[in-house]
Amino acid sequence: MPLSASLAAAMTTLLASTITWPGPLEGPGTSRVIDIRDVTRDQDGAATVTTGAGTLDARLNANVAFAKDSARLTAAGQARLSELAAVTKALPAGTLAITGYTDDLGSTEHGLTLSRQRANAVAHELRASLPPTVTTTVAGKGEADPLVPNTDETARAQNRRVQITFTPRP
Amino acid sequence: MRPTVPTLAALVVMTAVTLAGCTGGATTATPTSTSSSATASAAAPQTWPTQPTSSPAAATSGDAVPTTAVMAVGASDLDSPLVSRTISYNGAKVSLDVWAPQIRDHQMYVTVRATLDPTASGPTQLMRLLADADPTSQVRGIPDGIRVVDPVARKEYLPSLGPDKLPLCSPNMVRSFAPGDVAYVTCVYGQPTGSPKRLQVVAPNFGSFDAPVR
Repeated sequence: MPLSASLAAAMTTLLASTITWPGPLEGPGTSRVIDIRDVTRDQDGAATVTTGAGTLDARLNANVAFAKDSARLTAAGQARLSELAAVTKALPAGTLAITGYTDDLGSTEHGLTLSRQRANAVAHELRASLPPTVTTTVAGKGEADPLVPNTDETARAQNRRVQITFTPRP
Repeated sequence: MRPTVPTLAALVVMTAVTLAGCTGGATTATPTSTSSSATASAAAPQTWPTQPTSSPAAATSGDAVPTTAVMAVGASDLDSPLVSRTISYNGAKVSLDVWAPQIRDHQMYVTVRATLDPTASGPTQLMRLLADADPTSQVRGIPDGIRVVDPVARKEYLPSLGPDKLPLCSPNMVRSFAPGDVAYVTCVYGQPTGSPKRLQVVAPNFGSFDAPVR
């Protein structure tokens, strides 16, 4: 099945998703319409993508997407970004922020440089198909803002990531 | 155009529980055995008893018991479950009945029914049994550990998030279930890409269930 067709459902939910959900306090038989965000995760751990309510939030696992201590994309990383590009090319006007992060190992300077290079590599893959109404920002934050404390290798692996966040123009 | 679900009944938690009151936290236990059985017939769900609560925020965060009676789904809305499995948890038998995932209005819904054996020696936190292993999920009592896997596309669907960024799984409660209690759990997911015909429903502690998509 063509890649773009296979992501049609994701693109639909990207723009606006609502469901009617029971409100726990409103009493029996009542409900409210709420915005929702759908969450999908790759089984190989390449990425976790949250879409809906006009937003996109993707976390690219740097351990899968990049070669070790490098900004060179792996085949899995390129494949995942290709899928993501099919979604981002349908984005409405807004800003796509691409931010790289590393763990706390190595020097701070090295982390900042590597995270910025990785963010640039992701931006390079996505920019080609982005609509002109979408602006991109690219940053490397190194070991700042860890998802979890860098207590062990499992935690450090979680922190090695590239975050891709879309904010629609108000 | 924003898709909406036409019938609330398709989403609602159907919880048939006779609450014996909060009796404190349950002990953590590892399931010791599994077994599969033929499909079980759906029990008629009962309305949820109303409980007082302090604020909407508390209720949606799972810190308080919902004040409303959760609407019951009529028997015609749920046919027989697809498959059932029983495990031993904390010395008690807990059964899980699983219905096939439903696709409606660009979302996917999964319903399961957990039953605590009447001969269980004490209360069990059924929602924790179905919650993600993450400590935050375990504490807040949302049964958000149920995943839907597309083995062909190698994708895993996690429960969708509401405006409060909490997983849309219901019931949302930190409460002990007494022996014999039954809890219907429904979670919302994104529509699978590629229109798969079969998916796997993966429930913590119970394992994977192969299921056709409705």
